[in-house]
Amino acid sequence: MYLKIVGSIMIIVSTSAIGYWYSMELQKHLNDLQYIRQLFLMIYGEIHYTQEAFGEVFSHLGRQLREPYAAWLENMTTEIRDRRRASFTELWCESIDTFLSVSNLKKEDLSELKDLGTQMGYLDTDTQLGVLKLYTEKLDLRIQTIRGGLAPKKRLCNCLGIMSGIFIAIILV
Amino acid sequence: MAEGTRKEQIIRVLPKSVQRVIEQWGIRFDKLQEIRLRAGQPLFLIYAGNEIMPEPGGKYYAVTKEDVRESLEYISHYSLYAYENEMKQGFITIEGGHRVGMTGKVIIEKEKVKNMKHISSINIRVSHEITGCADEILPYIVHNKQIYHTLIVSPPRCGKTTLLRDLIRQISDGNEYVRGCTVGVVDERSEIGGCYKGVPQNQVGKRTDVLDCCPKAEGMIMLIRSMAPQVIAVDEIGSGEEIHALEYALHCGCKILATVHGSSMEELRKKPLFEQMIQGKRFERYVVLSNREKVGQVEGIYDERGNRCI
Repeated sequence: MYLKIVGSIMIIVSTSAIGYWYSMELQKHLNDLQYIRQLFLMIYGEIHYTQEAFGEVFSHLGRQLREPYAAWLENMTTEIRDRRRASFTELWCESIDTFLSVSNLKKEDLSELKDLGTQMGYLDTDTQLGVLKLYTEKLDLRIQTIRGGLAPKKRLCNCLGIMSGIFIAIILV
Repeated sequence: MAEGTRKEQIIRVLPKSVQRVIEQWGIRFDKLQEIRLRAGQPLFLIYAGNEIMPEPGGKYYAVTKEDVRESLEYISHYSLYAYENEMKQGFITIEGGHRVGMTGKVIIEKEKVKNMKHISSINIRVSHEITGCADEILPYIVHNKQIYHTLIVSPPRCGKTTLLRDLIRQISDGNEYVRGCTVGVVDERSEIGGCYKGVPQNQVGKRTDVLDCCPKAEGMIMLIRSMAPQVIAVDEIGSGEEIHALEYALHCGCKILATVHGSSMEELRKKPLFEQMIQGKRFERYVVLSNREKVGQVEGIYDERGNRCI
């Protein structure tokens, strides 16, 4: 009897943990989106104020960021300095694949980020800033949508975790 | 500058295909003067004073639009917007002080050049400093180990900027003729210091401060207020505003080293602003250059009255 109780408790605890972990993943995704929004606002500010090239902007900002974003921008700085690819888009997409696949950003976020690379390095500062502004606005919209549905989703994950644990325990016991 | 360094600086801004052509052709970079990329045309090099078309496989290399675009990406570090102001002037200075000139379709706004697009030609002019070219004239423009207010008068392509740069270096470092002193340079077109990210790539001396890409009139006043230079050097003065700033610098006790377009003292006197300066004995020495026998040939050195002293 004791074993059954202990087993049931363990099942409920583990499914609840899975539910909690999933709800935390949703929160981390939102946090990372907010973080890259902040990062792009900083890039916007640097270009607007100093009109520096990407290499300098990334090198400067890379030192202030957390991983994996710091490593991503450091890599971009090196690649730009060494001029390893014929176009900025190639550099940008490759480094996103290498460094940001371990972030909490989803595939569609990374795909949008890669699309941004095709519009970087424009002829004049105004257009370049416009592109960055548009991207941050898109991020704003996405963040708002996710934030709006986050609390019920987190509750749902937690509840489902506990309920599924109870359900499995009842069936097995 | 070591040949290896110069080679690296030049090669890294060239498209990969042109890099291969140049590598195969096996040139010496200390003799290379220019590389010209024109979309749809053969690759040209100005090498040891001669124009050559590299033909590594027995056939000349035709530059493509893609090559020009790729080269532009490398030159601008993939950030053309950051070079908007330089593009207005038609050139970008790269690491090593090498100058990349470009042509394409000019964008006009309010009757002024705003930028350039559809770039179709690129000319990479390799920087070659001639250290020691001012040795000949330095003894004539100094007195008690201090320089005179000096104006270098020369037509284009006669070496006035090269001479000015070497004078700046020698005055800044000091030598048997002149006591080393602080030199402030207003380098509006990055021709003197060849600055890259604010750091002079040419030898301009250890006591030299360069204000890069700054309008001359404004720059001279900024330097006086901020860096207290003993000597102020500017290239190609001419406008009333610049002359006014120059007068201000003279009254502040700075020595002036400047250049101006002109072929002789007579021609200089015909310019009203300079006529006034000669009459007012603002400059103590005038050095006239030409390229009659060689580039940078000294035609004469004149005193403050405009009388020939050598």
